[in-house]
Amino acid sequence: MTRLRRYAYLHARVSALTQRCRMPGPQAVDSADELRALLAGAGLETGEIGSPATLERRALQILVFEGSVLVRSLTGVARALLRHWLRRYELMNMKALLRSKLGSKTRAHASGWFVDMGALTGLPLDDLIHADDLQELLRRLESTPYSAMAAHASRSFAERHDLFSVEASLERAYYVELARRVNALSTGERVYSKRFLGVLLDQVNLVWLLRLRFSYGLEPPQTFFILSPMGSTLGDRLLRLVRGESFSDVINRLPHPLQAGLAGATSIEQVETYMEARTTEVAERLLRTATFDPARALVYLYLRELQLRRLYTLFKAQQLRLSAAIVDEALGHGSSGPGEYAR
Amino acid sequence: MLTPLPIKSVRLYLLDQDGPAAALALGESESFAPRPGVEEGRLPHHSGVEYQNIYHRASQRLERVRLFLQLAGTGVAPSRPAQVVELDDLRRVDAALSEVWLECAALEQEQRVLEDEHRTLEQLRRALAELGTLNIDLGIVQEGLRFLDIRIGSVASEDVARLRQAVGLIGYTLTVFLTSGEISHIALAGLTGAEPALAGVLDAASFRAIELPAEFRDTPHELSEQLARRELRLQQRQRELAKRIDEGAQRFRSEVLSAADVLRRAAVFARLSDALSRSEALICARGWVPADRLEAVRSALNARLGGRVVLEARDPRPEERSQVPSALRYPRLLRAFAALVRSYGVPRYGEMDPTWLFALTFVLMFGMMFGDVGQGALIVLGGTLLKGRWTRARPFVVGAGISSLAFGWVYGSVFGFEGVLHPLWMSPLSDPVRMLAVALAWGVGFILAVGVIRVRNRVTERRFREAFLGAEGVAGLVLFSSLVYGAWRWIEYSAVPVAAPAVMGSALVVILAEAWSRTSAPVFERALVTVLETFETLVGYLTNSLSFLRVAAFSLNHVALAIAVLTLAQMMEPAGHLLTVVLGNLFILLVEGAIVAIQVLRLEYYEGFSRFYAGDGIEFKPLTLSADG
Repeated sequence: MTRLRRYAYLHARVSALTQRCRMPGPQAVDSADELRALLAGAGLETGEIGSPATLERRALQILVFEGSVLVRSLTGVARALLRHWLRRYELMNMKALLRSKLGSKTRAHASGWFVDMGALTGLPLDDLIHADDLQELLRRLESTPYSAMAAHASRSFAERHDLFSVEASLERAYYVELARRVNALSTGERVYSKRFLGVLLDQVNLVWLLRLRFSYGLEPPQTFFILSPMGSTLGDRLLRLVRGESFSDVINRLPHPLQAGLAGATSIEQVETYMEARTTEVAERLLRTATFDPARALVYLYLRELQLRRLYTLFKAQQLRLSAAIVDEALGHGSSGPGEYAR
Repeated sequence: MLTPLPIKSVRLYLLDQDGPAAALALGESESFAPRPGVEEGRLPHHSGVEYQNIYHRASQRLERVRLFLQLAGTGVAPSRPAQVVELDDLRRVDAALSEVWLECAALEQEQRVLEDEHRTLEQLRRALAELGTLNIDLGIVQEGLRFLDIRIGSVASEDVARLRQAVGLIGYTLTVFLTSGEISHIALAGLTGAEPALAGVLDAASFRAIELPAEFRDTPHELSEQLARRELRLQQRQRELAKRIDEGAQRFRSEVLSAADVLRRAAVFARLSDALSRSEALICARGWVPADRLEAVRSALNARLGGRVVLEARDPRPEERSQVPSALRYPRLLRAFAALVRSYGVPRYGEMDPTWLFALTFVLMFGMMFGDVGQGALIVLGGTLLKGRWTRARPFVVGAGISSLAFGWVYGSVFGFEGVLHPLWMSPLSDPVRMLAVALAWGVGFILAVGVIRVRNRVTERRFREAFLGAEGVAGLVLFSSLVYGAWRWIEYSAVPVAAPAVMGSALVVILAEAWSRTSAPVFERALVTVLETFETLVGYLTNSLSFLRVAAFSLNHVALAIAVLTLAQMMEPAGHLLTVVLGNLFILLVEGAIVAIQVLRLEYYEGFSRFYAGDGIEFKPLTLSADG
């Protein structure tokens, strides 16, 4: 089957869905009506939304729904890749479960956080929620599609007995598996997906690197091990970057285009905003150019998630009556250009 | 038998504390299916949530205890009348099971530890064989050196490359000396001083240090003997643990059985809880009861509760019909056929149950396609000899066998021999065209019969327009019948009465008008959809009828196979002749018999059920005093 035939339906589906995926502008909105219009345009009817928590749940439902629509239009390896991408939402359920087992959250409280994955559910939540403790929970996960992640997390927990190591292990296992599934695509079909994943992992790796080294105080070897192995710009340079002794030292060790863009950045949030803008730019470009390709589904879902996250920020800001300056900063106003942080 | 039993929608009002007793009475009656959810405008709150939660938790604990102590499947059915399980009783059982499980968990943990140790010993034994390749004095690894830090352990194989790069940052080297599946055994060596940084990355990689026993300071031969002694000690400990588990099983057996009995009785109320709503001290349970069992349920409740219950019953409302479960009762002879119908689906409430039609037509068609006295008798014999759980299929097999026997008489065939018996009618091969005509007539009759059933079902659902005017309703049947009649007249008499085309035309107009009025679209599209839909349905009638030609085809095929076998047998010497006849008949019986059965099923499901049977009903599942209520 040619690529055209294999991905024609996906291409059409994504094109139809992008009608609702208009990114809000980089500034705060002036009025409630404007915000309502933005939300309605994104498929979030404000009549059914009373609070940020409700909006967040609705947004996740939309992502899962649209993701499952796109999954149905794919077969074989491409379908498996997209299904694994959507597991990022089910990971939220897993984290809620883990916290309920390790912390003091009741079962009812934990289940109130669950994202409804519909037909894509891989977690038997009713069974897992009745596990006596965290170790048993991880053991029960070994008979689900998350067995590989659970095995890693179980070993981590057995060694360290803390939630951070388990969650870090789950995240890492998620991205390792995502990279593996991209590599499972045929040579011609993996080009765009690899490009997108490479940029995304650069973002994830750099932010995690800075956080692990300078917020959690981890040593370079441990930091390097936790990071994901792929990344288009930083993949081969991580060994050099983790050796950075300070925040600015790491920034200075970055390869040229990133170093220029982040020169003068002083906080991890600024780095995250810049890297996110970079990933978004690549995703938007791929959405225009990657025709009849599985990457189209990935970049669409990424952009849609970003759009909904920004709308959530705007909604919450309006509820809390935050100043325009704070909202602008949260949305990354003026962070996309090179050398933006140069003083 | 023709339709699911009439059902009543029932509402029970009783006191909160009588809930478990009521559930027990309903479970004993085996006639009440709970209806989950809360009715609008009625008592708003759910009841029995705590009871349900405790029940589920206790059930899971019981399951684990039974599994661990290997007491599964040793339950005893409760004696009647059963005792009510109140919430406090349930709590006590839950607490007791919790204590039992605590003891079992400790034993289970010990078991895991011993299993891990066994695996470790196996790995050590293998590692010992490989450690020699490291050329390391294990005593040095144990004692440590002043400037050199050496570690030996295992990590996931997929993490080795990454770990090698990571430890390289602090000057360590990594060597893999053994890989077994997903685990790699590695040795790390580096200068002392970087241990804290190394510890962090080894934690992240879930590195498990190989615990070298203090004895691992000797030659491999000595070490090997030490491992053997350790294995013996481990086996001893495993035997002792198994003995303690057995003792635990004996000690807890009666308690576990008692808990199982309590939970079996509690299951009914736990299941009923989904259908309860509550306000203050009053609870209301909603459910469904077959109309002929209503008085029995009322009596059972009054006997348990001493009259402290109000039971309201009414017929289901039209808008509730899709929620009403279908309660089906069959005579023993039809149950095997019911199982096959059930595999297609459960009849909707009010829909005609096709089981009787299926039983009759399946048996007849099988006989038509596999008619032979001798082979039919063997099938009957086989059916009567069925044992164990296969006895349920006996009516099915024996019925098919009798039909095959009867049609064998009609065709005059005994084990493929056609000269032995004079046929009541004719052998299929003597007039194949006539056989095809008969099969086609059978098919037309079948299609018309299921068409009538479809009309009846639509009338029951009050879909009158579809029932009378639609392409699959009365109008469609009239058109089809007049078409068949006209075709028959033309073939037989080369003339068609005027009435036939007139009736055909009228019916067609009615069908087109109905389809037109049902469709809402722009004119051209509406016309296209109307014509195509009608055409598709009418062609479906014809193709479905023609599909029954396979009845004749297989009857001819059956005779042809027998001829082939007998021809081969005639080429043999007497002993070979007999053997060929026997084996040939056996082959026809098993292989062709199976194929014919599948073809008949296909005709039933595709040409039959798909025309009138929705099969999307809900099965009536009453509360019972079994393990899961």
